[in-house]
Amino acid sequence: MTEARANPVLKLLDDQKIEQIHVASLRILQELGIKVDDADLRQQLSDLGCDVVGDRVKINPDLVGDVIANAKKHNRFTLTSRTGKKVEMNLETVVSHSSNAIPDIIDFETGECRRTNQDDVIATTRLMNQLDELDMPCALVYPNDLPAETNQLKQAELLIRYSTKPIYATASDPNTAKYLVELFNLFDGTDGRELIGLVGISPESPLYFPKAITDAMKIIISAGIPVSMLSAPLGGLSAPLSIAGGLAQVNAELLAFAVVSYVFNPETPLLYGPRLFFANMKTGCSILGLPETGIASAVGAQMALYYGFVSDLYGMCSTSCTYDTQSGYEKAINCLLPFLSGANYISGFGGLASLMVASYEQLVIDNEIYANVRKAAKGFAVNEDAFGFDVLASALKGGMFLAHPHTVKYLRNGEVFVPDLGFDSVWSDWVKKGKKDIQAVARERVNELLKKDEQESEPLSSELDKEITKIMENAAAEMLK
Amino acid sequence: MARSILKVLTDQEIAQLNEASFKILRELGVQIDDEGLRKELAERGCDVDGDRVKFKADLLEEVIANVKKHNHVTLTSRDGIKVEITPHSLVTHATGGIPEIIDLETGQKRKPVVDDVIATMRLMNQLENLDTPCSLLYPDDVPIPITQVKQTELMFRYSKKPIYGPGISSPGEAKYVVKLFQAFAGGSESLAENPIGIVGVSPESPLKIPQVICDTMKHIISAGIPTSILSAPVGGMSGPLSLAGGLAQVNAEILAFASVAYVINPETPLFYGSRLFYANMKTGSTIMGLPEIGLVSAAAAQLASSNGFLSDLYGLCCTSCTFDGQNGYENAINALVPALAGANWISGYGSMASLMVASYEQLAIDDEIMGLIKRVANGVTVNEDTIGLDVISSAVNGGMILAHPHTVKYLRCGELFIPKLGFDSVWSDWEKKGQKEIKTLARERVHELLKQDEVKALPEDLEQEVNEIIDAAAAELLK
Amino acid sequence: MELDKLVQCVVDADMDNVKGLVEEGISDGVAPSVLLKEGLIKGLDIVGEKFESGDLFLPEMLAAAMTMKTGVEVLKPHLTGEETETAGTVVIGTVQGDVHDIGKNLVAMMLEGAGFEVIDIGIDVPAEDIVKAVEEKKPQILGLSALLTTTMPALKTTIDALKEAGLRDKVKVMVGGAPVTQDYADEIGADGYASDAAGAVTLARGLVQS
Ligand code: B12
Repeated sequence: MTEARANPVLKLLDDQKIEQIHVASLRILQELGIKVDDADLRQQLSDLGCDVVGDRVKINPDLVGDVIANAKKHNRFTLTSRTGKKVEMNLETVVSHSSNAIPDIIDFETGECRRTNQDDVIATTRLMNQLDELDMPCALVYPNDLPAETNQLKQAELLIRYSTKPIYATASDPNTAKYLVELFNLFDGTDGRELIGLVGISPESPLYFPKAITDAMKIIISAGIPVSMLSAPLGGLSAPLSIAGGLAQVNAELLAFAVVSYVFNPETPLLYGPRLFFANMKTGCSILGLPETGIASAVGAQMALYYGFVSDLYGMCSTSCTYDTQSGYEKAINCLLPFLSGANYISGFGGLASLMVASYEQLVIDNEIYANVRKAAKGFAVNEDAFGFDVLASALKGGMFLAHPHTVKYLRNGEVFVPDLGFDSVWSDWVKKGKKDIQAVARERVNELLKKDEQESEPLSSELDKEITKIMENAAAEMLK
Repeated sequence: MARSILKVLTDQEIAQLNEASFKILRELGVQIDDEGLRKELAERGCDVDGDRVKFKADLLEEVIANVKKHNHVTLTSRDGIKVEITPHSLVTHATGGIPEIIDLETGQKRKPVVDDVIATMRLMNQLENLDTPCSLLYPDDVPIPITQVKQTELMFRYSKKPIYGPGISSPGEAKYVVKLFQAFAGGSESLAENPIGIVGVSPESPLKIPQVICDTMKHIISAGIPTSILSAPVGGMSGPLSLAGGLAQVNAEILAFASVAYVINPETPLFYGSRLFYANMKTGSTIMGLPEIGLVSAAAAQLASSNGFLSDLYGLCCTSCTFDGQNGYENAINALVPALAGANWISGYGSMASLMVASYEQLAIDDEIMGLIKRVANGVTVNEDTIGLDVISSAVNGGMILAHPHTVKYLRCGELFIPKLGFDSVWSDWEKKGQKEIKTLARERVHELLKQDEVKALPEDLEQEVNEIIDAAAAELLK
Repeated sequence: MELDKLVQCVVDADMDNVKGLVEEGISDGVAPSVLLKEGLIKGLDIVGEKFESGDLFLPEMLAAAMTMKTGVEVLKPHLTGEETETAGTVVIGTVQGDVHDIGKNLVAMMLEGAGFEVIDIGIDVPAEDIVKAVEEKKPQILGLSALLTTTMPALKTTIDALKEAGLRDKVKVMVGGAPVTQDYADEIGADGYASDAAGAVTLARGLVQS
């Protein structure tokens, strides 16, 4: 967890342009509205002054204004892991999380790409316990050996069992939502409420809220569990290709999501998750390493700040399918842009190939990339002491910079980055050490960290274990028919 | 759109830093070895204390005001390619004088020779995001006393673009470099009017302009060749370790150099060439991939612009010795951060291993990285048309976004980056295409591009003139 | 009436003028089959070549195809049955349990653009319904999309259901979606796989011919 700078330093758009996108989104909501399948919900929105035309709900700007004003009051919360680790979420912090539900993984032993299973969820979660730059895991990979119906729920269960950090779960149907709430409630002391994590929920683009989604929202949001609103249209297919157009639509979808949430429970914290992405427009396949992913996220971060939402953004995305220079620059650019723009919650640990392939080594490499980005975005002190006039004066009189207390002091305070994984020496040394690329170094690190996690792992109390098992059995009984 | 959209320093911090540099110049001053220059500076109100010159604010303000008058430089190559450098531009140049290269065929590191200088120049002709090539390599088969002259000659012979000349540090060579600039520009007058390139000259850190540099400056600055002031202290070794301290010192060194240049010839355009860098403080070896490089370059871009300078900064640089993920993230971070902060000219094409090893493949990869960075720096256009309400409206009413003219229009005008080298498809396709890393793609590209580049012979009279200059240089300098 | 104008009209995806140009051709007495083959189809062939060589984007290809289609609509009453034949009929849908449809829609659009008659049966479609659609519409090709590894088995279930219904040899099955691979397609006995929309069109053309 990093303290963000009070003023985000990168502004791809000036305030007036941000305002212009806001106004466009209000028009979209008022003139085009959203499609809502649930008739009761349409009625509730109508009661709040929206126009209902068939299955479309046209949302008036005043209501949106009220919702935004309300959301601002709930943009500060704390998550606490099963083992007591805390993550503060608010406009002043930057928190990292991993990618989610990736279907394939590069096998750690063979280097071959294969389908993921439950064991991979466990092993990657344990590896993520040990990554010091990663604040919260998602289930990085999809447990393909488990049934689809209960899959999201099982992912959450595995996270709860194996993660020492607060967790990021997902829900796209009401049954999953119901049992997720039960799992989360195991950790809820209610008065001095402890939240073990949050839940990501996606509407559909353009501007569509299917019943399964609004039902899931209702359950999670009524329970007061923080929700990340994830709107993920593909520019040129389910949103305009122009970035400004895509963002205006995404913004409208997220504001609409907030309005719907407001109906269910105005107290629930909401995260602003614009996930606009783009495709190779010659073949049609979505590729996430394009710089536009980062550009859209950077503006998304600005939009979130404009409203006072905590933002949740794509970060280290890459199209590259291997550990090459391309994976490095794509991830760095796409992470740095939102980070500099004041993002609060950044994703992307562990994914390659446009989030279709996961990798153990990549998790560790991403930890290092994130550390670099964080340092580049952190800035530095500018004051009399930092100017070091005396050091310079003494150097001119024949003194030494190197051994001066000023140098030692700043070195100790982290003025200059110290790579933890990356190579930090010269060519001859690189040759001497066996010409390893960062993947090779990462491999060694993966082994070390997994061993370390094994030593540190504390088993669940048998009581908690039983409760979790019971909830999962009930879920299976209801959902797997 | 304004280029400096990233502010790593607030306006107040910039003012503080400038004040700190003024204080350094006023109280500590700069050692200037040339007596004549000291005298001239004294006449302009500086205090001379032994060999140190202490600068007053008045002169510095005057120098800054003059710099501002020369902050729009257009370089034109012999082939007519123009590169404009203004406070709004983002142009690129290659690293210069790298001592080793990775052989394109064997993949082994070796000493480069003249043929490598030529081949890399020709490759750089074909890289679309590279605006001004530099002699990437230090040819091992050229005698050291004339290497700067020879590199300049090779650049002019083989580059189709305006050149970023070598760092010049010897007056003997400076004289012949000036002659080459004049010959290739078609005379000394056309050189002043229509520069065909620039050179770099470095003061010494901390705060010193040695005699050889003073003499070099006299040649170069008098001839009106645009000059980048390359101030390159290592934090914690020849400057304070604190980033702000290093910047205050660099800023002071550049202002002092500019003052000396002003005395020699106020018409020569100058570039703010901060080259502040850092070391692995456990071993002492310099490593150029640290994120601090990007951070101080960004701050330097802001400082440069506050003082009316065009900036010329480190950009693509990495510690990595191979084509791995580290190579990618280090290069990207260090180039993107200054680019967003409004850097006008960014360096680094073709280098690896902290600027100690060059590579053909890296040149091609860096061109791709710069493509992404230039795209990012172009930002997002927001207006009625880009917002495209009617596209969304038609989609909501069952229409198609994909074939909408709006989609085609924005694709065509470059709303989305199109990788030229980088992989741009999905895993199955990657497997089908032979699981190539970007290095492999880059190598193929290098071969293609080298085939494309045609070398034209120099006009006969120019050929003769150039040969005479080189012969004269050899006769004088190789004794 | 200059045929070149009509060709160019398709190349430029000039939707506003295609109808007028075809009508002009008809009233000028140009043979409808000539307008079709040497006008509209020729235009689209040029676009197709440019697309193959990487000069055009999908939307441009699609827009040109839609322009041609508009032209064909005007011509249709004047053409013989043989001439109006489509490239083939495709039934396409996303399998049961899966609601991802962006990719499937894109494939459908591109197939339509390439002259196929496309019947989109939507998302989350159970195997029985797919079998029913094949029975009723008698397509040459069935396209199945799955975006989740957990819904990929439904591709196999569907193919098996076709076998059971005795329809397997009546229709070519092509499959796709981000996690689907050629190997998987082979394993479940599909007739083809493509990793993207452009590939899907080539694949479909090949399947119709074989
Ligand atoms: C957008 C999206 C969604 C949207 C879908 C909206 C919609 N209407 O389609 C929403 C938000 C609703 C969604 C929901 C879910 N999603 Co989702 N989603 C995506 C995402 C980001 C992009 C998919 C997309 O549209 N791509 C763009 C199109 C153009 O590409 P495409 O679909 O691959 O299609 C191309 C080719 O595959 C091919 N093709 C496709 N179909 C066919 C058919 C034939 C016949 C042929 C020949 C070719 C072909 O051609 C197409 C064009 O080139 C992917 C990530 C990814 N990289 O794919 C995840 C992804 C597929 N989703 C995932 C998951 C887990 C889910 C959820 C379970 C939970 C969640 N994360 O929210 C739910 C499941 C809902 C359900 N039951 O189906 C995972 C799947 C993991 C797995 N095990 O397989 C992915 C990979 C993301 C991830 N890592 O988390 N998702």
